[in-house]
This record gives sequence, structure tokens and C-alpha cells, in this order.
Amino acid sequence: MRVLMFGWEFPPHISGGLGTACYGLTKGLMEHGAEILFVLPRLFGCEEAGQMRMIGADESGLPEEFNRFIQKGSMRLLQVNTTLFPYATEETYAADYQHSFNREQQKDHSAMGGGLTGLYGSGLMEEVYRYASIAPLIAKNHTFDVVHAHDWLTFPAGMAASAQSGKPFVAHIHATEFDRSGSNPNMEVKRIEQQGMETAERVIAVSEYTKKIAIKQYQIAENKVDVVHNGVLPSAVPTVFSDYKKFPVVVFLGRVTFQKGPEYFLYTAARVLRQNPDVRFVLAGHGDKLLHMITLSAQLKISSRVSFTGFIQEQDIARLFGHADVYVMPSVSEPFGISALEAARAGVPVIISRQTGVAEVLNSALKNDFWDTDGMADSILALLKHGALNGWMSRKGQQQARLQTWNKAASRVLKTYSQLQL
Amino acid sequence: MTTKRYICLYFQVHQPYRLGRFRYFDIGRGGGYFDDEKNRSILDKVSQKCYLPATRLLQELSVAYPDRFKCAFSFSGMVLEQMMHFHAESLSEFQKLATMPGVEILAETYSHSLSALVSRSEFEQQVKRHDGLVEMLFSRKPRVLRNTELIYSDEIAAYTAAMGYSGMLAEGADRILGWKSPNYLYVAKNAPTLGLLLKNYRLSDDIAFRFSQPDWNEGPLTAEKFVHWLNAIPEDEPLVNLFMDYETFGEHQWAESGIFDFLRALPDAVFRYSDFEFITPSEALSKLKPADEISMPEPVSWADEARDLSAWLGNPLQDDAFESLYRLRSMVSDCRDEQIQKDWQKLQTSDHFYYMCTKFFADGDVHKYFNPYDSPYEAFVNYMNVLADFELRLKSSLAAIPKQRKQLTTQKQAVPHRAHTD
Repeated sequence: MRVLMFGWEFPPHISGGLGTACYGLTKGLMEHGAEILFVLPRLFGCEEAGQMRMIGADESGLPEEFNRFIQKGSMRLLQVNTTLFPYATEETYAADYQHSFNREQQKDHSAMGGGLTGLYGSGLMEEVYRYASIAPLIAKNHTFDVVHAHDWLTFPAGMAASAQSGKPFVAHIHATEFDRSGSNPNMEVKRIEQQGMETAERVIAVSEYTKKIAIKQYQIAENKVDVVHNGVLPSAVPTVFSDYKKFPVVVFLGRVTFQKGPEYFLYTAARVLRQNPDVRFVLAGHGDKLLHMITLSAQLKISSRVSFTGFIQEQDIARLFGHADVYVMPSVSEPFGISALEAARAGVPVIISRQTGVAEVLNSALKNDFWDTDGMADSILALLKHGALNGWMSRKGQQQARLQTWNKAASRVLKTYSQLQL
Repeated sequence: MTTKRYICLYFQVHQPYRLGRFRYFDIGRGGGYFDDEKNRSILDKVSQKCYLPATRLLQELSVAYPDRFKCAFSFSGMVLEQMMHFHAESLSEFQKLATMPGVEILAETYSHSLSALVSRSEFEQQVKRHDGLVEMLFSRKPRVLRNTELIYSDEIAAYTAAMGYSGMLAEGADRILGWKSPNYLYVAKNAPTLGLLLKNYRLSDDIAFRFSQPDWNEGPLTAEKFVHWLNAIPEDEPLVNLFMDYETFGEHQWAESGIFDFLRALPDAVFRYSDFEFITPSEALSKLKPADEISMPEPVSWADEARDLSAWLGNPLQDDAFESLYRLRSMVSDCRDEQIQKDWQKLQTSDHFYYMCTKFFADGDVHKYFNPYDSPYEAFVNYMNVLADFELRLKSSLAAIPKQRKQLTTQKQAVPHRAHTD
């Protein structure tokens, strides 16, 4: 099976679960013998718009195992310059781009080749279609059996490659506009998602929860959608446990956006602190709601018990999970929620909202509706108070997370491929 | 017949202990909050540009016009401490100047804090501590007080009068004075023994802010022109209070702007072209008759257009940080750890709250200039992490004191330090 995949940056260059998912899935597929031509949007270090090139094993910057796949020839990495990045939205495109750019610049000076501004189209939609316009060229120059694209930003590219080659198109849904924007979706984005799912021969949803949205909001036929739950990778950085406990720690880790429900985390914190004033809440991550959340913590008069870390690196995540007592994911709508699995894998008891896909594979997690801050607070207090419950959930969560491998997810994806008209 | 008229020059000298970056993961580290390197280098820069040349110039003027050239200084405890540690040369120039007749040293809060707004006893303790340091370094006891950033209210006046000071400095804000002129001596309405010197903000700011502004239609300002403006003041108004940051000379207004030439030429121009003489605050209090009483029920400061507290307090970040800090006060009073006491002083400095100010409009330029952080949110998050660590240290220090001894030490401490309650 040869797959042309329109994917996203791999770890550590990630801002959320999408990069992690691409990485895990690709690895799983290759372990099953699939050959992958991976099209990698490259935001940084590009000199000219529209440029693309094959990346050799020595310069991929990927983990050793990936380089072995590249050397073996089962993976080819095609880098395309674009200003697209995961989770880009029309509203925040320019600002987010600048932010990621600055962060990247601090991290890696050597990669920078001068100013980037003004190279590309100013609007996000413009860039999505510019990216898609390169796809037929790629399709013409390579052979493959199936086109696989991840989320709406790459759907136009996937469809274009499919149209050029006549090969079937698989649309992989990691999140929909309804998850990101609630009842106020961007209609142009929704239209692209709709078109992608309709054009696709098969649709992969990351959870039953997301499959239901595809059926209900996009009127996709039920038997056209397969559910493939995400896996969780063993952390590249081992969890850093610390015996020295200064205070109970409750963690939120994710993009600080509407979808992730950070304000429910803070409302919950305020309730917990009334019962136990020594708990510390850590809101880790960056996003368009961050400043608003900082202000909210002050308005709730709990800022002396809340820490904001901003964007957080893998090493620090390992330290955070090493001493966290509870992980909370109060998402308003979460197609999956890989970071909950990562927390569980690190042995942190997990509380998730019912509006998440990960709930389907993490039975041990305590579940509340995202708006039920009373219920969430009670769950946190119970986990802090009862060591036995905390220990049981820690062990159970670890067991369940270990079962959730990308190898398993990849075999499900191959099953989807096998149903295609090749 | 004309009464004698006076110019009262007062300079504020202050540098905060700026915090270093303190992340969530640093909480529990147990101290090390301040960026010594940065504080040392800023003090060094300000000394080279301002403290040394300006102080030597004032020494020259005192020698050239004995008994005629006069001025007053207020040094925060924070800047005095830093000079003792980092810049003995500046301190010794100030000490030399202070031995000359006609130089008065004023009282203020040790920490350059906002304590007067929240705790009478903290305010009194800090003023006493500051008096102690001034006596040690300058061998004299201040008689006139100026509170942090010229913050004044009837309540603060009452505290100050009860402590035995004969006068206070305040802002001559239009909304308080109405039709009255700042160019008289006043008394506090609720404390008739306390004389008030009100800043003439127009003439003060001509020097402190507008001096080198390129779009100022009165520039360049010469000593002659300034004396011309002094002469334009109605003849029955006897006192012009020119209050400003000392850093005006060489730091806010660069040497290249001619600010030192202006200062050098000022006494001569005053004596030659006007009937004004220089006067210190204490002399003004004994020589002049109060024209009226002044009441400021709400605090007034010298900052920004608003001349209220909104540079330091009022937005949710500032308010919660401020409340969180002073919630710790009773515990700090019980604590005998010297390092904790020192950090407690430094954390109260008003600058920390100034950095959290979000009103970046008319006064934005000044705020940005004085803010070492990229944003007020960053300043806030950093400060709250520091405060969390401080609270942990405080609690563990208190827990280490056996109960009985703790009671004993509090009683002992109560005699000198806790004569008043909030």
C-alpha cells in the first residue's frame, strides 16, 4: 500500500494533538509495511513561496526510527513551503503566524533565512488554495494508491491530488468547525469540510463522538465513516517524578482556546479552593484566550493559586505530569483529546468532560459535563482526598493508555484502505 | 510691598529590585527572586548618566551659592540598599551633598510601597525603618514626609501627623485645587499641624517631561525662559514647588538635551532676573503662613493624566496581586527569618504593580519605558509565581518555630514594631 499523505509537522514542532497524531499514525502504518509519501508543510526556513523538495534522512530532524524508514525507502518526506499551520483560523491567522514564527526564531536561529512577512497570501483561505494548487504537480510526479489528508486545511490539496491521479481520497477528521467554534461556525471552513467529506471515498473520524457530528452536522452516510481512535506514544522524555511535594497540583494542558474550555477549569478551581485553599492549578498552553484567562483568574481572586506557563516543551510536560495529582480536560467539544491519554500514561488520574472522544477509550477517567464545574470540583476534591482512589485511577489509566497504541490505530486505517476501490 | 517668594526643588531617587524570570517550575525553589545582574547594571547605567554627574553638579551649585541654593531629596530604601551593595560611589556623592547646608532629606516608605493604602501599621513600620536608614547614612532625622509616588489622602495625612512629621508633599491636582493655586503653603484639613507643599505640575513637567520633546513649541527651554515663567506667576503667590524624579537629569532627559546646562544655569538666572530664592520644605513650613486647608478624601498621586492610583491599582491583575501580597502580612509579622523579611520589603515596591498596568493609552509611552516585561500579563504571571514561592517559605518558616517560642517572639516584637494595629 502506497499512501500520499497530506500531514502536519511532527513533534517536537507541534502546537497540539494533530502533529502527534500524524507522527504516530505514520509510524504505525510503516510498521505494517505501508509506504508513505508524506507532504510536510514547512513554515520555517523557507526562502521562496511554492518551493518544495525531498528531504533526506540526514536532514529530516526526525527521530532515528523515522530516518531508518527513509533510508529503507518506505518513507519519503516532501517538504512544501507554506504559512499553513495546524489550528490556523481566519481570525487569528496573522497573529498566530507571527507568534509561531517568533517562537521558532528563538528556538532555532540557524533555520532563519531573513524576513518572512509578505511572502504569501495575506488570507488563510488564499493560502489553503495556494497549497492545494501544488498538489496536482505532486500527484503527477509520484505513484501511490491512496490520498489521505488530515483536517480541512489540507482537504483541498488532497482532493486536487485525487482528481489529478484518479486515486481514492480518504478524509481524516481530527476536529470539525463545530468543535472549534461551537454554534458559530465559519461557513467557508464548514463548506470545505463538507466538500472534503463528500468527495472522500471514506471518512475516518477519531471517535464515535466525532462520527456523530459528521453524520448529524454534515449529513455524511453512517456506513461511510470509520472510527479510528488515536493512540498514545511513549513519551520521548521520561516522566520526572519528584518526591518533594509542595502542594497538590491540578493540571490543564492544551491550547487555550474556546474549544478546550479553559474558563471551566478556572471556575472549577475557584470552587475547589473554597474547600482546600492549598491546591495549585496549572494552566499550561498558549492560545487566543490566554490573556482573557489570566484576567479571569484575577477577577475570581484565585490568581495566587493559579500558574500560567504559556507554551510548554516536552521536558516540562514530563516534569508537570511527574508531580501532578489530577489532570483536567474540561473541553467544550473534543473530538479526541490525546493529551488526556498522555497524562493517563504518565500515571496522572484524569477528569474529562463528557464532550470528548477520549472518554470512549479511557473508561477509568472521571467524567463530567464541561459546564458542571460543581461536579468537576467534587471529582478533584475526591481525588485529592482519597489516596486509594487516586492510586487506583493512576494504575487503571496507565493500563488503558498502554493498550491504545498507534500500531492498533494503523491497522484500523489499513482496514479502511482495504474497503477502497483501488 | 512684595513678600519674599520661593522655589522648592525636590528630587525623588528610587530604583526597584526588579524580579528575574520565575516560572511555575521555580515555585518551591525557596528564593532568588531578583535579577541582581540586571539591577546592578541598571544602577550602574543610571549612576553614570545621572546620579554621579547630577549630584556633583548640585555640589558645585551649593558651593557657588552657599546658603542660597537649596534642594530636597527623597531616597527609597530600595535604592539606598542597592547603592550600598552595588554602587558605593553614588552613595558617597549623595552623602557629600547632604552635608552641605540647604540640602534636606525627606522621609518615605522604606519599600517605596503602597502600604499606606492598605495597612497603617505596615506604613508606619516602613517609614520608621526608612528614617533609621537615613539617620545611619546621612546622620539626620527627616521632618517632612513624601509618600510613594506622591500618593496623598486625608487618611495618610492623619497617619503622618500622628507620627510627628511637620509636613507632607503632595500633587497639586486640578481636580482637588479647583480655583486655588498650588503656589501657597497649605495645611491638611483633618490634621492642622501638618503643612502641605503641592507640586506645581505644569512647571515641574516642563522640566521633567517636556524639556526635550521635539514637538514642544516652547523648546528649547533655557533657564532664562523658565525664570521668565516664574516671574509671570502672580506676585502674591509665594511658593513654587518643583517636584520631579531625579533621573530627569541625564536619564529621562539625556545630557545631549542640555538638561545639565539648564540646571547649572538655573540658580544664576533665578538670582539675576527674579526675586525668587530657593527654599527647603522644612524652611517653607516655618517661614510661610498656610493660605488654607486642603482635603483629599480619595488618594491623589503624581502619575499620569489621571493623577490617581490607576497606574498601580484598579485592574483585576493589580488588585488580586496586591490583595494576595497583603494577605500574607500577618504571617510575615510573626516570622523572624531575616531573608524573608528582606524579600517582603522588596516585593512591596510599587513598581511591581506598575508593570501590570493595562491602560496603554495616553500614558503608554511612559509605562512602556519603565516596564522590563513584554506585557502586563507577563509581569503579573511572574509576580504571582514569586509570591507563591514566598508564601511557601513563609509557611515553612513559621511551621519550624515551636508554638511557645512563637508566642514569645511575637510579644517581644510587638513592643517596638507593632505599637499600632490596622
